[in-house]
Amino acid sequence: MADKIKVLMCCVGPETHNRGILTVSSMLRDAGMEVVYLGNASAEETIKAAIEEDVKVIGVSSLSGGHLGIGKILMGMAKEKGLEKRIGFLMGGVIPPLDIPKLKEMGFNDVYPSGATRDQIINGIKKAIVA
Amino acid sequence: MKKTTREIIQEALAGKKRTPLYSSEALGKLKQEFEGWKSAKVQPKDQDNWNVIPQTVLGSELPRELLYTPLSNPDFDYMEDVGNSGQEPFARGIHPNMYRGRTFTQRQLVGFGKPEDTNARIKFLLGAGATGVNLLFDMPTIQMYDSDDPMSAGQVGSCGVCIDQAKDWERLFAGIDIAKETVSIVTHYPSNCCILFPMYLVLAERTNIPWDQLKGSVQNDVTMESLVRNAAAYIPPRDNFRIECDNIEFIRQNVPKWNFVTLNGYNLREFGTSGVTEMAVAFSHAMAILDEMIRRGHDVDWVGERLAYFWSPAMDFFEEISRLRAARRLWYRIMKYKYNAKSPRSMLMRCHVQTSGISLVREEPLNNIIRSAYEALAAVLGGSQSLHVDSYDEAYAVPSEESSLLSLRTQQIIEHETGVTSVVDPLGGSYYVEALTNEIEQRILDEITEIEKQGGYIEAVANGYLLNKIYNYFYNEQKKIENGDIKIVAHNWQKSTRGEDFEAFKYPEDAEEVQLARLKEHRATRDSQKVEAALKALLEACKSKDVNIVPYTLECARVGCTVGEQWKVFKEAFGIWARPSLV
Repeated sequence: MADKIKVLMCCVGPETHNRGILTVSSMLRDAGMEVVYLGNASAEETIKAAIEEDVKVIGVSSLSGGHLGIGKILMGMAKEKGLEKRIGFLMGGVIPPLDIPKLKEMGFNDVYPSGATRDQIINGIKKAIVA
Repeated sequence: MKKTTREIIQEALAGKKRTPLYSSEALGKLKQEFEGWKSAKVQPKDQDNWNVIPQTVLGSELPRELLYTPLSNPDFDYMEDVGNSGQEPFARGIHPNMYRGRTFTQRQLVGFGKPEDTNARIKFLLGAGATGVNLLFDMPTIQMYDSDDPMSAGQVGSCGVCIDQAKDWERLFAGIDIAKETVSIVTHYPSNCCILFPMYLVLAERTNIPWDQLKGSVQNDVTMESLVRNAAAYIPPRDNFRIECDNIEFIRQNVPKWNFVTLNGYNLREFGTSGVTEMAVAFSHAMAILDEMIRRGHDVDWVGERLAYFWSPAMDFFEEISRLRAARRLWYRIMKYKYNAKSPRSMLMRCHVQTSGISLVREEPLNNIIRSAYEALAAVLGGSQSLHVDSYDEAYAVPSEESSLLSLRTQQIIEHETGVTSVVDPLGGSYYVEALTNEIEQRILDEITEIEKQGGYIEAVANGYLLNKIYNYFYNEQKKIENGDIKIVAHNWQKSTRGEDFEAFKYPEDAEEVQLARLKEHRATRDSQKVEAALKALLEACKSKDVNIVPYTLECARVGCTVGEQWKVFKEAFGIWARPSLV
């Protein structure tokens, strides 16, 4: 029996909306994953926590339009530490369709705009680990 | 044993003489006919499922009869239960002539980028006929981080307008007459209201506009700061509440035409809960405010006259109309019987509404125009005072110029083309609406009683009771949407992928760079001694009991303290509160 998949869930920066991160965290827990709930944190704090907790995946929730800005900063720091090969990076929230390829180009394994299903997210996480 | 609000009201009403509209003879005859009709004409499957519960996003699980008749509300007493408009118990409206006298204020939210970007959009909407301004700040400003704080990186100017210091307000309102326009400043929290609103007052000072000419509102809501929002750090709810009351007191004393709180309401419901819970929490909160202001030695009418509410009309059309009526009647009863209010104005449940954002979806975004239109119509039929209609691109980004114009046009079409504003409370007297109004009032009272059992509103926030309740609601709702119990067209029913190539509004790319440069210059040129002294004085005031901190944040605004600097003082003074966790 494989170890529980450990996922860090966060909102990078001052994101006020938490319905998304709470719902998805609960879904992951229901699916048998271990959720490290970081909540609001800077990109630096997020990377630090991910390393300390030795997570397999970082899930970022962005519901206020700052996804490209924070995505760039987060992936920049991740690459500095060589993390992008070891950890899966996923982003979810209110994200315009034309920004999704941009996020993937930055290094995000997958992006989940509103309407993404439980199955899509869980399968996406599993894929991000194997990759 | 302290009486519950429900008990107080029940006792007061028990003593009143009722004159039912329907005679017992008429009701008897009707009942006979009705039973006959039901068994002969109504299909067995409908007889067995006489009551159904509509499944909607943010629904209240209120059962509905197949057909409503006088038998649904046999004891109806027109004067006691609804009265005429502008008359106790105010179910039919807060003014006798409602929209014939003053139409609902059409105020669409605006906020993105640099202050001048938002300034342009405000002018555009005012030029297109909007009758109010409605401002939203970016995430860093709302959460009280300066643009140069590490937490703000990458997010300056997204989701709202960036404000770091008082001078940004001058840029924001350049060419707009704040003595003329009614300005809703969505300062979500008591903490950021205490910091931002004084900057607006300083703007008035610098442009020679006396404060008594300013019209508008602030949000200033503990529910937002301690219950609804996500944050890296919270101050304790009781200190949060103290700041809220300091804001109320100061504004009431110094800015007489200003609405000092717009009770949530909206964001709580959008977080994920029913219209009933939304109102129970808002009313419990209002009562906590009144209790505290009485403790501070103020008159209940003095506060009551300027209390205002902020609701989220969602998709259950008749529920939305009925609950505004129920809220008006219940608030009146609370003010009259529990608080012995003397001024008619302080018994009025005045409200701004914003159509529900969470009811809008990503798939086939133009469908959202229809959703928002129905929600807006319900709000107007329910008698709200002010309205923002969400735009159809809500699930993608803040509205583009085109979509925000369309939202404004939705309001204008309701006002000028449908004829609904010619008649006050047009659905009053409907067997359905009156029965539903009654039911909702009772359900709100049920939940107010629950909150009272927790020790009142502040305690229910501090101990996690309300947070847990809402979390359970929305996680359950998520499952209902997943399994199709709640149908959303094109989203989970008739699933569609249209909208996948949608071009959303693009934020101005230079906002962060420009605001950072301005902030740097500001920090370099301001009098740092005065800044330090003002922040120190604010810290002392926060730590002192029975001191109103707003004069101190006002001084901070005058000498050029930033938003972030003042939030740090609050955290230092009050300490960090560990909010009960859910996951």
